[in-house]
Amino acid sequence: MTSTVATESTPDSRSEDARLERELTDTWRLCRGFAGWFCETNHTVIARRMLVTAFVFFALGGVEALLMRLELARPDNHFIGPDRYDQLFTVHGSTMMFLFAVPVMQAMGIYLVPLMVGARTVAFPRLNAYAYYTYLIGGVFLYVSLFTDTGPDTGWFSYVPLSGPQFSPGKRVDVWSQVVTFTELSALSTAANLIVTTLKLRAPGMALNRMPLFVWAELVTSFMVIFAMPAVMLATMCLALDRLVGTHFFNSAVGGDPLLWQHLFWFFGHPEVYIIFLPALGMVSSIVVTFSRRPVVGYLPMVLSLVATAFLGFGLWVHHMFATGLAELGQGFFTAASIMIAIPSGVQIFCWIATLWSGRLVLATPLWFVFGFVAIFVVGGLSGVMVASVPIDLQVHDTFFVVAHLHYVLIGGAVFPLLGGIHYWFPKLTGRMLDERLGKAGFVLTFTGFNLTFFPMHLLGLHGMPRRIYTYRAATGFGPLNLLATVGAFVLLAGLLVVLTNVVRALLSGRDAGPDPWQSDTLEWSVASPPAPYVYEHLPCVAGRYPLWEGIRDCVVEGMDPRQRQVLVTAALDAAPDHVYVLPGPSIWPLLSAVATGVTFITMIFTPWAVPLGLALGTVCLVGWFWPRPPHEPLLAEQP
Amino acid sequence: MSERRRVTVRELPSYAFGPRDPMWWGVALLMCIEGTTIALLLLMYFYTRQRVDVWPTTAPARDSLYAGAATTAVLLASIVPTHLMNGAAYRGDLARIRRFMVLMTALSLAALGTRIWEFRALPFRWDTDAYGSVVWGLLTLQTTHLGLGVIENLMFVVLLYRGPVEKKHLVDVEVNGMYWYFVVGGWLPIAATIYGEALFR
Repeated sequence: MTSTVATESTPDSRSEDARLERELTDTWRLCRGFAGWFCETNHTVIARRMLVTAFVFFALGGVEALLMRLELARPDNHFIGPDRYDQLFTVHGSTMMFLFAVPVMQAMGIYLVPLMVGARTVAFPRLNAYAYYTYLIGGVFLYVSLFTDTGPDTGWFSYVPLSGPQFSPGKRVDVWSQVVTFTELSALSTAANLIVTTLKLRAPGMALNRMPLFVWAELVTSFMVIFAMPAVMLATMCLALDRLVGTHFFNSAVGGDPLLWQHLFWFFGHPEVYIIFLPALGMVSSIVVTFSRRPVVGYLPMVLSLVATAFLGFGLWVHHMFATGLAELGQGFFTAASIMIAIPSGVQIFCWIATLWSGRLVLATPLWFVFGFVAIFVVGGLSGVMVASVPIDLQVHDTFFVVAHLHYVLIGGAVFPLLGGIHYWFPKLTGRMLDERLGKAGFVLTFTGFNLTFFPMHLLGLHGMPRRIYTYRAATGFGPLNLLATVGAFVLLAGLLVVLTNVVRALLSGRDAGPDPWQSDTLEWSVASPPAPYVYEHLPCVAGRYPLWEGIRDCVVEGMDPRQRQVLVTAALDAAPDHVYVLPGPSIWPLLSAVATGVTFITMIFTPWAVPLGLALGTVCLVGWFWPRPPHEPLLAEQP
Repeated sequence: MSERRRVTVRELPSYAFGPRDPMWWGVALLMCIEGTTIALLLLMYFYTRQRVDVWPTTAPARDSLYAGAATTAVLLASIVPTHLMNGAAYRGDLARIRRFMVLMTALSLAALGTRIWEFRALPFRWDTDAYGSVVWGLLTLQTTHLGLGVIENLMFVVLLYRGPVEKKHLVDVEVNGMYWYFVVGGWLPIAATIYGEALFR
């Protein structure tokens, strides 16, 4: 199956290449026109839409945060008022967790993983489009409810009994629970897609121990999604049923238990932190390797740390519930587990430091964001070790100390690497270079603004300022630090605006990037920027962890039919070629199925008859989606 | 002139069974998601159980046990045609695939029928108390798996009788069979939990 031939660029081989390019372009052509926009299933197009949508939600969540900071800037302020403030912090948290952080990390995966593993697209392109539309409908639904003053108001984790039928009449909580169901369905679909793409569509030779660390991070994260998200879907479904048809899952009067909600929610909620954080670690690894100009130190410990983090991440959800009166043995166990997770995180930090230390550093903007990440994340990690201790947790529970900790972990651990990743992969996504000076200015402002905003919150929390209050009295003395945090929030905004300006400027008049502007090591840099719809003219095969530094162009796959949307399926462990699979083309059914899902979930807020309605719509969509249409693949000799 | 290694894939097949097939992995992951949901709901059952003095608060009646046993028997019986159907899919024997698919679909519809009997036989409602909620929850969850399986089975029956049947549909038949094993396998711990306790009290 493998042969070595001498190749020379001759007129014949050049015309052969031109024919191949023509046929591939024709086969993988993007849909055109207004209707085509809704049928497109190309993974780079869908991932770009997901990225843009996620950043729009990030901006909306940011505006909500600024409004809250304005409200808290001085004592006795009544700029917003309690009801609106409740809606703002609930929608802010829900937006950042469900509509920004998870989707944006998955969107990066959907764009980059196929490119990095040497595949033409994802394993299930239609499922990918369905996941995007479901996410979009859920997000729009949340904001329609907010703008019509029916926004959820019970916090992003909506504890019962506050969110139960007795204390939250109306439909606000139902909106929240259905939005969560929408987004989790989308996340689960995308996770399955990423896992199968990673395990089955890798280029020949890319055994598991040669996969880029970013792909490992997305793979581990996707498995976490598969086992964590059912918990929150089940929890929100039970909450919706308690509210709609009078079940008693969480009603303590007839045998239910409000704490059961907390267990279910945090069994998802804690892994969620790592679901957001692990892809960011993958981005950091990519950036560190490229800008150190050397292989990563400790590839195996890095991979094992990712896997260990995933396992440990499922064993410490109860540390969110230390204030609920747990048995001492349970407290001890979950304290130990919470502290233990610092070990794999520490291993990775030391591996990056060792790589940077022994490399030839190129101090480009992405690396600056990585330095920012390391600094902020270490602070967040240390405050995490503090709140893992039960006595300290009981003192600072529900105070601004926790707000500071979670923002240090999530913004430091995820947003800074993400911004680094955006600066790093922007040339691949758009074919244009970002401006380095603006990039570094953006970093300095965001880093300064972030620390000005959130560091004072540690002190506010230690001084006893509770979270989720819409105002406070001057006598508390919370005023000056709150004002500082609000000023910091506007500095952070300025930094993000500089980043946005840089992006817009580059899109309009940025320098041409070429395929590999950073002299990187992974496969995505071997194709055009932005990639053609078919991505690879010849599928690559690889022989090491750093294919572009090891001579990728010396080996190609031949024998794929360019007139069909073929992908090469390889073995899960060693990526040996196994069979050639034909993918379905563009279709309107993913959109229609997402609309059917939306109609069902939204109707379910009002009536249980949504279930038979959903069943009927779902059946129609299943048939429309899967029914074979011409041109048919090879038919069985025997036919009905 | 340079030397270039070429990996030729021209002769590779266009489909493969089992873990070699991407769709197999997709459905396996769906089973992981649904299996996790079953496990969590069972945990909810036992969590709620340890909080109350009397459990079950209203024991399932004798009729419920009969109905549950009938569903279990029908589902277990459906494994046989599923297994034979998969064997026929490996051999590409369309006539036998069709025969066993019809039998399997008939049994899956029968299981839906006995499930309706189960719901009707329960001596409590979902809104009676937490026990009622969690038992109705478990049965409803499994019914959605059952219903999804039935819809898929019916689609396959129509496809296999109307055509055109592509070679890759052989793999889809096998994957559908795998999902059906999951539907049956997922039911057993639920049945043991709901009815076992009542049976051995």
